Amino acid sequence: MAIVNTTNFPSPTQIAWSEKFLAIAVPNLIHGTLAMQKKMPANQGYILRMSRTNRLANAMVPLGPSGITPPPSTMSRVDIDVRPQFFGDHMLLNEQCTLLNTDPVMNQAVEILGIQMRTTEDALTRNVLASTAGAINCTGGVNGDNPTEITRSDVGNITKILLGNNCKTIGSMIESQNKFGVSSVRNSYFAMAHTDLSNQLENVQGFVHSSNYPSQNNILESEWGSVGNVRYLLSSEGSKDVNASGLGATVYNMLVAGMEAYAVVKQDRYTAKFIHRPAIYDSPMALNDSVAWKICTAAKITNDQFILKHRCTLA
Amino acid sequence: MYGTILQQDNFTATGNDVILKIRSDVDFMHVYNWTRTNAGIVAATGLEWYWQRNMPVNDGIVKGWSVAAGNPYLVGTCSGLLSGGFTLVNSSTVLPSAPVAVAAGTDVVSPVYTSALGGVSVGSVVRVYSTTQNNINSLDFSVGAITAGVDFTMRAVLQQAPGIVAGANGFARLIADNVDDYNRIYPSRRVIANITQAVNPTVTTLVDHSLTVGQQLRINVPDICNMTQLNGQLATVVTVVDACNFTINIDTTSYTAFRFPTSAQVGANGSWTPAEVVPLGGFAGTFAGQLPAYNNQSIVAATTDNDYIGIKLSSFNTGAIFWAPAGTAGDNVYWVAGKSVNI
Repeated sequence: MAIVNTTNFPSPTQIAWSEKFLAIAVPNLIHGTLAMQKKMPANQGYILRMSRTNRLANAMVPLGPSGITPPPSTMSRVDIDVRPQFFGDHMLLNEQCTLLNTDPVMNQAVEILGIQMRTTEDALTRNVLASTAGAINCTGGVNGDNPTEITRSDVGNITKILLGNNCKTIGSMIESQNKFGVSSVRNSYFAMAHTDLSNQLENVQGFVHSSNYPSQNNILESEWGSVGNVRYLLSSEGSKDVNASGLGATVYNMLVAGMEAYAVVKQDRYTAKFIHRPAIYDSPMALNDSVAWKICTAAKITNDQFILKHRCTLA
Repeated sequence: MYGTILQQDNFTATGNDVILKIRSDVDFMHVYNWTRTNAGIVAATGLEWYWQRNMPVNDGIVKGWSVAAGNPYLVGTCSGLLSGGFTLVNSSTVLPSAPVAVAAGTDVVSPVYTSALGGVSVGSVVRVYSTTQNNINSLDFSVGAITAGVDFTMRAVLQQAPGIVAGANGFARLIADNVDDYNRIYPSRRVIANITQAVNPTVTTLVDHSLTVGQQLRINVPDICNMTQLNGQLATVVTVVDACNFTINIDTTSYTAFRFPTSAQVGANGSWTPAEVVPLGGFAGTFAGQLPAYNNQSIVAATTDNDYIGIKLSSFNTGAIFWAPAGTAGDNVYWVAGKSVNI
């Protein structure tokens, strides 16, 4: 008995296309979150100089009865220079591609270029912070490596150093409330770290997951939780150095920052350019569209004593 | 791609690998050794090279005089002629090299490491780990001398010999071909190998410092390194002594002597934080001999991102042959690079 089935009589169109695109995996962009935003004015050269006058020592000696004028103090200054640089990428789309493809190719190109621009910006900031911040190794763990895994005493140590440097916290205290399972959150520095540390942090004594904060107001999507006076933001693009520990394991750099620790400088009139040139501008035969982005930016630690690279390995 | 982008230039060979930074990227390249072409027939000598994208890494096609009698013109591959060739480089994606076994360093102030780690030359930055010298493990350092394929020596002079603890050997990795590649962000932090007690003390860094006179620095000295009076102080570079030494403007004569701890002093656990110098990216220019400045407005210290795209021309030859595209010291080498459509 002959049966007509899809083997001997297949559908002429065997693939239906779902018009809704699947989500593109985009990391948490955490490294610009805590930055001071600064502009490099146009037509003013290519270096932005940020200056800080140094504090004077206390004047502890009494003026006395002599009537003689004591010596004056003098001023000194620290200059911090940063050079914004130009970055960008582009894509060429042949007219036949945009004409014949079922999907809106140009839309997709624009979306992934936009994502690339922001992840690039984030990674540039991360690299500057990781390269130029002073480093403190975790030493309180027991994994036998250098640095060790993170422990409560390591968090306490980093907090002590930042406090000693007169670094102000960023996050205000979240007062405890009469709810089940919540715990107050101290006024805090913020740490930018890698998602590989999510389990590790939960094992640190005193860890409070962000879902256990008394209030869910003013919590960033990337915030994982807090330990002592440090709240942790996680991203899959967090800083890490492969094969960099004493035993050759990956070292994770938790960038712990306080108020006004670093800045992201953007060139005025050039903060984020997105350029689409239709094919008609391409060549005599108008063959290719182009889409592009350009930015002019730089990150800079503005006070090296307000940000530290807290290095750890996994347990 | 709108046709082909051509770039050209020439360089004088130093005997080391040459990196040509070409932001447009490269799809093909011709290299011509003017000096050797002009020298007449010399056995086993490359004169002209060609490389094209998708050729094997560190390879290419070379034309030159063979070793055969009469020295007929030869066309071969760099790898076939036991030499290095061309390698594309994107410094933003470079990872440490594969691990190669290394013996713990010798117990001298500039330790020697026995290892066949490849690609190392004077000025390269390497990292050893899992050796019994847990005070040196994981710390990057510049290489001061090598015996190719046999050993390499730390360039910096440590405050004291690092000590030796009996036990298993570890591994070494090449981190960067040179300090310029290491400085992806300039200026960046360095681990300190020694600080002298002087009016203008000399600071020694494990990796070449790349600093200039007038740059401002923060010196961090943990308790284990003893000279804690210097911890957290802001210093300025007074003189650059050499690649891994510079002097600063803080008088340390009355400070406790600096210590780079031995393996034993670090302890069996081996977890410690070394002393380091952190450049601020700023400048305080009042010293004689500073780089060009106007009203002390020198900008040499400004923080910049040094990542690049380019191609590395190898200088590696096996024995007394000259098939590598980077030439030998003193050679005048011309090159043309192009970009084309991949169909």
